[in-house]
Amino acid sequence: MTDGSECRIERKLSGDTLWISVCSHYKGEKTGIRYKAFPVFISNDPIDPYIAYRLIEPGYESWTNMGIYQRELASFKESAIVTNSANNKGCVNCHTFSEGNPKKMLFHARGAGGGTVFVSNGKVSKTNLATAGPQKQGVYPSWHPDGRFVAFSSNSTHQCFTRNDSQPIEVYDTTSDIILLDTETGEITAPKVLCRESVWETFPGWSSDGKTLFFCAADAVDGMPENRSEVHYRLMAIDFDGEKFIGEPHSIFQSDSLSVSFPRCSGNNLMVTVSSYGTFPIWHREADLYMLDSTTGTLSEAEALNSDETESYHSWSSNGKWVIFSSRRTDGRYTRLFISHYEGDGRFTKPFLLPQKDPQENILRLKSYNIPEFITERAECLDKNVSKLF
Amino acid sequence: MKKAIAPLLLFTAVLVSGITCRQYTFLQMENLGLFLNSSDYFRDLFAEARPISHLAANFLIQFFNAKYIGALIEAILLTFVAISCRNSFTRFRIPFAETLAVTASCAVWIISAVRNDFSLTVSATLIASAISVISLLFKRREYQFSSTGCAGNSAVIAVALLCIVLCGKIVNTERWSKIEYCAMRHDWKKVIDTATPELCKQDQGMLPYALLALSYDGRLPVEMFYYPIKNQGSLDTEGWDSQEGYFFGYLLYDCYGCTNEAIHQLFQSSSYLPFGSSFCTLRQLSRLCFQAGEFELARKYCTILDKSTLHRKWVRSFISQIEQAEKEGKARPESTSAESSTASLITHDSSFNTAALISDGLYSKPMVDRMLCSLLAQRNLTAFKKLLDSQRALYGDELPSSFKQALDILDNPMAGSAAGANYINYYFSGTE
Repeated sequence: MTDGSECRIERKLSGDTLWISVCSHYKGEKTGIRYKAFPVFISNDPIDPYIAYRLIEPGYESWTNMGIYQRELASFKESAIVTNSANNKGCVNCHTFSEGNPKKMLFHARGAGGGTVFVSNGKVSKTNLATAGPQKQGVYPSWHPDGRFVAFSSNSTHQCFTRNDSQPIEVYDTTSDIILLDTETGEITAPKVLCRESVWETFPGWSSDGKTLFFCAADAVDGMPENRSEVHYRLMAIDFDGEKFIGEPHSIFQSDSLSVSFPRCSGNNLMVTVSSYGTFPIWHREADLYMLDSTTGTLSEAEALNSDETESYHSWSSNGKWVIFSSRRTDGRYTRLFISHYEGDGRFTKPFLLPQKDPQENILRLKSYNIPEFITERAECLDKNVSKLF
Repeated sequence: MKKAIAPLLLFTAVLVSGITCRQYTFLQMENLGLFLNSSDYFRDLFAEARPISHLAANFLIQFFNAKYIGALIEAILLTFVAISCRNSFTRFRIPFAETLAVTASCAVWIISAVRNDFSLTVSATLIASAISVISLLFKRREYQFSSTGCAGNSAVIAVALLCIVLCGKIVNTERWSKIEYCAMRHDWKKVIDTATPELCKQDQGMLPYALLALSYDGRLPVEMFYYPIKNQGSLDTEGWDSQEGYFFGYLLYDCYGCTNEAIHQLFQSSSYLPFGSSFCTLRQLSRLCFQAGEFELARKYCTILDKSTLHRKWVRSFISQIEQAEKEGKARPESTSAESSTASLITHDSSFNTAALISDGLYSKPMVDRMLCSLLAQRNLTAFKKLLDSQRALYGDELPSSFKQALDILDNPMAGSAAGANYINYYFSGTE
């Protein structure tokens, strides 16, 4: 214990509740303290066996070692899916899995000879989206539920640094659009309604039935980054008929004092990250997680999940019962992962930190967890195959 | 006893040259080194080439933070290599076993010093140990002393010693290590003594350090133009996309009190290091975060340092400072999103940033000295006079010589170069 006493932890399983009690005593003394037992409720809802995330130093412009890793939730085993030793110490990012299946995934590999790497049933290939079709770089991806299409945002992203504010970095776009890749034909389209110059479209996210693409959009603002507080992203939606987008995008939620990021759907549940302005909310301490009420079109705060520090990227488990999200509540700088159970009606249980074999690992790790995603099975290590592409 | 002559000679040569010629090289190795008892550290270590050598080297480098220990450890290892190889070569019946062993050890010494890579010495030690083990399969043979061999060994050691002492690369490494080490500790006098005008002529990279040291020693306006200044870019390394360039940036912004930017530059510098971090990085991050009132982060870096072998005392002392500061309520208050959205931005132009800080009233005399001298280096005397007039109170009645000369030029633009007038000479050398 922090007061120097020794402690013993006792666990007792009673039905669906694990009772944990802590006894402490000072060495040599005959008496001690038994603290009141506290419960850990065990849910009947299964959780996906693995999660995937990137490990990267928190912020700035360069890096040493980075990689996309997976963690088995039933144990403490962590292993690499792909590291940047495969692409000559370049950047690997934006990993995403089709319906949580690691046999069908993609990620970007930046640096010399960079491109987007597609993995499909053991086959690995690389495409440079910036040189194909409409020649727009693909950034934030989202797989259509049918596994055929991938929507990408195409962003011109910059960062600026503050002198001595408690928010040291601001990341902002000066332009962004949404493009659509058909993985069967290789065709990339840039629909005009999602590529308007006067609007910055970003963060695509499909509905569970694949009939709607949600995304975020803000009116273009000149004079960035000085005018960054004027940028407010609204939540938008456009219909999709399985081949192409139809109709015009329509606004689901907008506000002059809030900005929306990362729409993520599970069934009828839609979760977003909300900050006061701008995009890339991980650097905004006020960023929190919200749920959209689909009947009223209002956003309500997922209070149980939020803290005084940043809550940002989130994703749903395959059964829609669990959510994993990034939070900087432990020290304000290094992102750690929290898991919560969804009770329904917009309610969540108290989130718990991703368990480690030694709790001190959360402090000792000098990297942040980035883009946590549930995956339905173990991913093979791709380093050897990916390195052949570079 | 005769058996010990060559090893003793070698040990003494390595030790003495290490103490006299490479003291700061070893100290800086510790600064840039890292050894942590943590799973992430070991995973990254074993993903690289020669993990065992690097593990042992990184462990030993921790001890280099004390003066002369680096030299001592290197002397011990190289002497072990020589003795080990001698015994092995003797068992293998290789002729001139001792001379060959001493030569091998000296070769490792030189290569390791030239490449500034202590892990090579450790690798050689491990290889010599492995060969020793193999040699046990062979029959033991008695050591045969010969005076010719002894003379040969002495000659080899003497040549190696000369190479170490005279090798330009090793000398330069030592100079740079001294400059960076002393600059980090704000020992500006040693930086000035090392980065002299003559040396800066040979190696322009030293100039920003010399000028920064002069700023903080109060001598910049007096002595700047005795250095080989080309233009205002001589004052900093901004735009140098390298570990050393970013390290200088960290020093500069730390001196300015721009904690966020100092941390930014430190992270950038560290990204060039094998583990993305180092003992120096972690110590400085602890200090900078403490300074900024980010106590949880400062505590985190201390906890990480506590996983090394020798930082326990340092960590305990620092943690108690944090606890004291917390009791006094010195944690950084959180800014609101409204404040963050309008917070002043830092650019990649250090001159611009310096000017912005001064105009925001966040200045110190060293900062104003640098800004004024930067304007002199640009030959922008109008802006120089304007700034000087606004900051006149810092200088009182007695202006530094280069300032007086600049004002003289403004009064009498037709005046030419003059002996002893180092700024006037600089000014007109660029306008001809």
